Amino acid sequence: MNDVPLVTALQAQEPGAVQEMLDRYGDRLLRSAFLLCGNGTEAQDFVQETFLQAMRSVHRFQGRSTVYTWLHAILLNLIRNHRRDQKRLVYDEELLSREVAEENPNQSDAVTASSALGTALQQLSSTHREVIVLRYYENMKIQEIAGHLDISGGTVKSRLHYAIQELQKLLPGELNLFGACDTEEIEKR
Amino acid sequence: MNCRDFQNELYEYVEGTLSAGARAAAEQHLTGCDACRRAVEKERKLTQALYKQLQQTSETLTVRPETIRSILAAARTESPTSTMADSIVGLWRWFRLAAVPSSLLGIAVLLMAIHFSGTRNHERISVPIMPRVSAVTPSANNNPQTAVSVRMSYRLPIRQFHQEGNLVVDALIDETVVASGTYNPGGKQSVSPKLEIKTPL
Repeated sequence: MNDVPLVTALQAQEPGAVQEMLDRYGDRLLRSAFLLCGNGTEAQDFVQETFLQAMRSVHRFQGRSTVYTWLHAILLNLIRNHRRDQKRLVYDEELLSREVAEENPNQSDAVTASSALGTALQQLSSTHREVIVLRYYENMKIQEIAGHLDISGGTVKSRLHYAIQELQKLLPGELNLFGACDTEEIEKR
Repeated sequence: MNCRDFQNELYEYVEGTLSAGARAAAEQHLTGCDACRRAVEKERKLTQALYKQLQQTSETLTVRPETIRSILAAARTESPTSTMADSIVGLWRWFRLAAVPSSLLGIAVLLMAIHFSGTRNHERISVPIMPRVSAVTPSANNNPQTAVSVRMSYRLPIRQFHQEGNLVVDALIDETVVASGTYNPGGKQSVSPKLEIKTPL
């Protein structure tokens, strides 16, 4: 899919350009946001903010990546900032309990997270979850992930290795593909 | 290539991003290594299985109509903000680029200001380095141990006068510098030990 006409239309603020961007990438971005944050309501908010930021900065988009990768970078940044802000509030018990109370009744978006893999994914550290989603859902190559996360290819591979090990522990009977016997065998040799 | 080397390049082998040489070496290793072949097969199956499961986990989600409406509404009103934001960002970028030369220029101007302001202060109490002494007026009792008056035609900072004349300025009273010490301009005149110097400030 050619992004150039879309970017040109967005930069020229043509009517319908934003709708076109939403149609092309909205749902895909939302699903990635959901896998990264584990909450459907939050994912909607992240996607909304991602598109708003994208519209504000589209004139600076130089086409060095695809539009989707650019949008995803904005999304990832928003999720990371949100996570960092939440850590600052971790001792505010009142706020935390209110958030939990708000999340529980609103399960319509989070129903799909009830899959074993979805649950296990949210038990991973954020860095491990990011590489799993980028590699196995976004189908990015190692160097693409490295560029997206601003880390080395070696770090990406290391994080993938440990993330898969974690998933194997969390989902022992879910996917026998997670068995690490081959890896261990190779490591012993 | 041994198993560990291959393991380090497993992801690139599976995704097909190895160079031709590295790929040939990897395939040569695979022909004689069951464990690495199984690792490749497992990574391929894992890739397929995880993608399928992750897709199933999230595939029912769609962007809500109210989210779309909010984004489109913002798009209609965003233009002026974006222009302003762009201007701010542009200004900030320009400022960052200009920061180093501006700082250097600022420091230079500051140093010059300090230098010249210092010079002006010194000028206020300056006396000639090589004064043309037009008159030496001994004190009334003509005693060389008492004060004398010297007229001079041009000025230099007092510290240079000290170096040249070995004088210490005691006070500045209007246009009169009162100094003490020994002054010997060109060896022609020697006035000691106390001088009262009149200079056109």
